Amino acid sequence: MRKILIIIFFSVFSVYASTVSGFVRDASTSEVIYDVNVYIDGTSIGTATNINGYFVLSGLKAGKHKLVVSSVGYVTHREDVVLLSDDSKKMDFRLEPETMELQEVQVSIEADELPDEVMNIRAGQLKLKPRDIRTSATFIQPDLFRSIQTLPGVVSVSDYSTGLYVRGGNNDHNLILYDEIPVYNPSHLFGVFSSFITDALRDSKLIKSAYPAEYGGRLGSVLDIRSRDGNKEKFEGNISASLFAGEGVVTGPVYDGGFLIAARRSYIDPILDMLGDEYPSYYFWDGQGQVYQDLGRDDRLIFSTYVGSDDLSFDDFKMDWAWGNNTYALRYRHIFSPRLYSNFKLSYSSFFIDMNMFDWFRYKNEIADLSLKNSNEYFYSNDLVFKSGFEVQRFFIKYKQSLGDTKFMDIDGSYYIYSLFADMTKTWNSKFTFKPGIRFEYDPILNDDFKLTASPRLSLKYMFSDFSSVTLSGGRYFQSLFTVQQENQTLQIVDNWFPIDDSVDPGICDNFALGYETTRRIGGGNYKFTVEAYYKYMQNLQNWKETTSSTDDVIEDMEIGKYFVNSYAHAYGIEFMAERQFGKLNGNISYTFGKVRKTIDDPLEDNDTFDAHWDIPHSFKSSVNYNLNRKWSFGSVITYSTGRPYTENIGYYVHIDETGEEHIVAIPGDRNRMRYPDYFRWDISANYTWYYKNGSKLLLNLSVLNLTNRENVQSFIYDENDEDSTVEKDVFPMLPILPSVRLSYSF
Amino acid sequence: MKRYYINIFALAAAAVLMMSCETGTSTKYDEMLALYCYAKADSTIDSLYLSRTGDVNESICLDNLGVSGATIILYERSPSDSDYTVIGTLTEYPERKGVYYLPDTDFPTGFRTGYSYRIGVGHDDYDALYAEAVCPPELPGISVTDPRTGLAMTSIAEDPAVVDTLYYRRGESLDDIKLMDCRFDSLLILAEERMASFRIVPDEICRIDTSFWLEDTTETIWEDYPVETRIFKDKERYGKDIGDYYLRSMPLYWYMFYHEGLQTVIFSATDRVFRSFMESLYGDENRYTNVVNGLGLFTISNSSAERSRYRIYVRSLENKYP
Repeated sequence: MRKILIIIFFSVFSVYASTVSGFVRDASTSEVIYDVNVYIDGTSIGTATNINGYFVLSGLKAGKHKLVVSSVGYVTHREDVVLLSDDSKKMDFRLEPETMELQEVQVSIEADELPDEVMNIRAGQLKLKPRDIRTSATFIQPDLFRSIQTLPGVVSVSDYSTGLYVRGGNNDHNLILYDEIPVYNPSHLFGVFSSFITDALRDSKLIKSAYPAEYGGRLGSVLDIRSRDGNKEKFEGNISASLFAGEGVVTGPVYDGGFLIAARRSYIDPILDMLGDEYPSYYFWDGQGQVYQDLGRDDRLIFSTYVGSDDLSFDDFKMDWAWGNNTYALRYRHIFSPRLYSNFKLSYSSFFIDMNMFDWFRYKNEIADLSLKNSNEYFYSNDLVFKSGFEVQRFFIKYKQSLGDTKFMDIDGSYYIYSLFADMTKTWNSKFTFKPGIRFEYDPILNDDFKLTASPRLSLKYMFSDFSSVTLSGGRYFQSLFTVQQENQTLQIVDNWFPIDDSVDPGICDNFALGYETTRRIGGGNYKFTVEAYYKYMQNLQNWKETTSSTDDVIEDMEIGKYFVNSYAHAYGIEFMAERQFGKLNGNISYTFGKVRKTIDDPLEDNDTFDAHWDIPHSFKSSVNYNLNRKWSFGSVITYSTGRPYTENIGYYVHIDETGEEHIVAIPGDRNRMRYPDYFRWDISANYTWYYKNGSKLLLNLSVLNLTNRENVQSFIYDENDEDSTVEKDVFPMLPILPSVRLSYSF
Repeated sequence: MKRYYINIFALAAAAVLMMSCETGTSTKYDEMLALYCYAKADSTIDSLYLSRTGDVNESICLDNLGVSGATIILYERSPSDSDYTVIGTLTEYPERKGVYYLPDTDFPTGFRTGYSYRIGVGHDDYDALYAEAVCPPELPGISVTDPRTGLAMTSIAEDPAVVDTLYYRRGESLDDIKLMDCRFDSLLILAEERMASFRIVPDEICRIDTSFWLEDTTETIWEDYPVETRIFKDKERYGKDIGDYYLRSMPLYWYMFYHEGLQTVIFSATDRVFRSFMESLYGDENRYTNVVNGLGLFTISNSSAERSRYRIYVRSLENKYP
């Protein structure tokens, strides 16, 4: 019935002109490629593939056309197509990945071949390919999140953390999606490594702000990670080993589809075990998998999963501490008609922390999300696309703490959120694009003012030429699930997620971004220059009350509002980036200016306004790769940024306890008024590849982190000098110089 | 081409220059006084500590920061009165810089339950400061048991000669070695926004006096209030059994005792000042103080309940059967 209604609804807009639709795939693996330009040569008629590699070119006149299909990293494909009147042709294209030598050739022609696509509003979006991550300087092993940290507009607060602070937002303002499934804490070893196995990923797209209506539930950005579909053509695989962990990926055809299985495990635990009981034992592991079946051309069924956990045990404390993620998704893609593309998803995602010490202290936090989602794209014409859908999410929250037979906290509940979204993309004269959208969310646990929220979104794009455009995006965003945040806790060990209740208002962010990008040919190479400015006003950010303990007791009406204090923040900034995507020498160089000022909305805290702990006003980054030849490549990543703010100790006093014993207590200065020294890090890498006759290859990656061995400050630590009772200030440093080696064999 | 590189280099240099300028601004430091006074019901003040704050380069100890020459006055107000009356002026110990006391003779009643007290401090070099506290009632309905036998223990007040021997077994987990269990009417404590604490005083270095304590090693824990509650405002929205707080006694485990041997355990009720202070320890940066124009704490505890003090002998179970 629903299917019929959808068809009736969209058929109102039907037009009777010729159409070409289909998928664009990688010729070597049959995996889909998104953001591929598909256009009629010599005309302004064109489009780009969606996230599933699907495109529709419509309104074409009868006759012969030359179709061009082009994407970065692939050999451009040209094909003649003959269309009859009111014809509807289904054409799939397979693009050959380009080799190093071809990339060099491509440099000379790319400016003519890869125009910007007017329908594709990409301002504030950054894409990362696994191959870029693999060959850049790595922290022990390739890491998606660490590569994202090198991008403009993204701030890292520590070498020890893969946390992302994007355009002034906190690290819990990012919606992290793995194959459309939200992942709540995608990191290992307290944030040192991120969760996903790079070789099992297809694409990653970071939308830094003003994201479209199909996403929701976070104030700031979206990181949309897609795993590889699985090679439908042949079996292939990859195994690799670094100083810390080993991983393997196998993919191949299965029936009328493909599969992919990837696994990773750290192997530091035997070494720790050898050191004795006084050292803890630790390991982490990940498993990623996907299997899909094509049920005809128009239907695909996909099952994907990500599971992983950390396990820390310490015999001396009888401690067992495990935390991790489990995600499962079943997706069904159906093409109702060449113009109507639909996706259905049923997914489950959970994050858990389970800690046990002395069989005495138990701590458990779990958030799980069962979700049913549908999204539909209707390609009415080349210059008008509709997108709509719905999502029903059921959240399960557990938070338990007990000491012996005493339970401090025992939360076990669930609630629903219902979402409905729609947007459209309309283009005039191949110059101007208008993309309004709206997302409705019904969240019954919130107070009456926010039970039903409407989040408007709008993006505008104007193209000055095929290679220059300006984009304006904005919207209002809500967030009702957040992590416990403390301003002095810059190194978050693990995130504890809380849903807010009706005692506080949900987080709100009004978000605007203005961007300009142009591609210029300079000295034989093509360079993309981007300038983007943003502004965010974030309200109802919940901070842990600094004068309230975690076991406070106000009994009768214990509620979130009593434990957290409200705050609001203004964030603004401007990013400059120059990028060269092709050629022997490629990479990017960027400068970001960004400010985040936060105000505690509480008279008890004097409505204090201060720089947020992730406020890093100036940030200069450079990520460059040099491909010397087919075998040798080199990488360099440089980051130089302002030091983070911190609260200094301006004095001390003696606290006398009830026994008369003296303790030194610090007197804090104004919050976050001082700054750590500037941060500087230079990482380099060298890669050598052996190619074998059977088609396999072996990659040796040598990296040196913090080449200059600069002592960047994570924090200051204070210690009492027993001799004269003075307080000495020492540096808790970030990573020192750290060489690492990694071998990766692909077959 | 060269022009672009020059521009990029110039921009990078400008960025580096701007970054170097961002070092923050220091907060102005103002010297203040800190006052600490842990008063006890039925006793006078034996030690009030007055010191000043020190800057980051100073030696942070009482010998250096103790403040002499202050005029410190104790005031009292009964529950029925609106004005304070002067009890007496504190005197500084001759060889203890910044430590003051009030002689028994000036305050024969000691701190009285339900009465309010104010300490006022004047000094030529500092702004005047004061702190107020209310003497809390004793622990209501106290009952202490030996978990091993389940029998009620005898307090010193009931039998001054009694000594209970409590055994622990080496190697057992902490949860298994509860040596004492104190229960009291926590609802009444809660209604007063107070809390309960205990002190363990190793016997050989303890001199017990109703008005004067010298304690070398003590343990004080902050007790949670054992009453059911909810973390979320509306339980129904999240499902049942959300956020319950559970009843809790005040258990003493063997690791809380300093060593084997004779010890005295004192259970006491503390006031809302101490409770606020303990709460602030779990927070960030600023510790709670009830000293106006200064730092520190003036708090009163009450261990005058008949069944609040116990003499015990702690030894390992292995020593029981040599």
